[in-house]
Amino acid sequence: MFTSKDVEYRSIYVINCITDRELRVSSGELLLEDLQEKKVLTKLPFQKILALFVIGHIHVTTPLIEKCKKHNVALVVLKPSLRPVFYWADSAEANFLVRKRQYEFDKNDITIARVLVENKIANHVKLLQRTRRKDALTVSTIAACEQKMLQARDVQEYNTLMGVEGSAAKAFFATYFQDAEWQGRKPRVKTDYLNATMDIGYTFLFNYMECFVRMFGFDLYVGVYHRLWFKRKSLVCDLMEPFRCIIDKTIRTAVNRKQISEMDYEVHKGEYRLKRDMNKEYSKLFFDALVPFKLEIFKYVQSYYRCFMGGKDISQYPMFEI
Amino acid sequence: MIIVSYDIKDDKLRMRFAKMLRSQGAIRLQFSVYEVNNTQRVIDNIKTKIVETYCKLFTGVDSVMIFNVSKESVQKFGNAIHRDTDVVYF
Repeated sequence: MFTSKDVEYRSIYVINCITDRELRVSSGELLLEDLQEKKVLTKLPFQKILALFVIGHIHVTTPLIEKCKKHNVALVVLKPSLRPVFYWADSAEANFLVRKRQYEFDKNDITIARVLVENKIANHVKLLQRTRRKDALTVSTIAACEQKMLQARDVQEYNTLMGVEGSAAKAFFATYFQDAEWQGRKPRVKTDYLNATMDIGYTFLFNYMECFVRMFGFDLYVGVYHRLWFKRKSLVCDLMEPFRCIIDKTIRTAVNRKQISEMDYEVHKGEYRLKRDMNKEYSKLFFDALVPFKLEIFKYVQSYYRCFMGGKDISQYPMFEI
Repeated sequence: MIIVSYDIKDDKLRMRFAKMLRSQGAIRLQFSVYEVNNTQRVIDNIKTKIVETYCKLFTGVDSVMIFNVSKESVQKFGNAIHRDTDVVYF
């Protein structure tokens, strides 16, 4: 199993393979070659790689998989449009004890779900406070979110908890993005560039979280808040909730600095799609935001694993503070 | 952190030596140069193995050198600069 030292000393490599590039194994190391210019771009030892994010086209060979398996390197492949298509990691699948615990966990038990929602709303409040705005909308939203946070602690019904989370998020987004012509959160439909950017950011966060959650052998499809749904990795969705604020903050900062704009997208059948030549900027933007939290995310998931396995009291479950 | 650099003429012995280093978690930096970033216990194990198992097999042309360095004092050039940053883009 990974330790924090492994996570600290390993790096994430984001490789743009949209043009002719090839990954291969040479002398036990990973070689990245540019086929057009016929030159080697870099050579990396597998022991130093935490995850490989490949954007574009890749030939997956047996030696590559063998080395990734041997050195616990996660391989994530995304299309040029940044839609993920393939994830591979040699997860700690043999950890049947944690899976047994997951399957025995009462589906109607929302104690852990309450902690996740409370953490998420707490980070909403933190982000709003850090804007240092004193306008009526911001002040009232902070108060409303703080009230929702307290409400989340005492909720007994699952649907009520979802309602609390939803109403807090709605108020938060409307206030946090008030300067950016916010029209409401509409996941996956990409009706405006802000929603499309959030989808991209949350996808990066999802894949990033998945790398860490897999390290402990969890069944990713069995969550404690998101219900069972065919092909949905509910546990990853659960554990990424407190960390969504990282993406929200990154997007707001990028919009304010004019690093991202509507011009980066082209509209196709009513959907905003990122232009291909903007892939590099957007992936760099989100990875630069997520990587400083690498160790924190690992320790959060590790702590969650220990609490879950040990059946610890809810007060001991980890909280992430942005 | 230690850096182990070796120059061993016999192919089989060189391979065994490299395999031993890798089994102790050493990472290859260059041909015949390995980095060990681990606990003092593991580093002492490596040194003990070299002294007790390999030294007696070395001939006059063979040599092994171990450098104690700190991560910050190492200067990197070429693809080595890609190895210790948290995220690298290509």
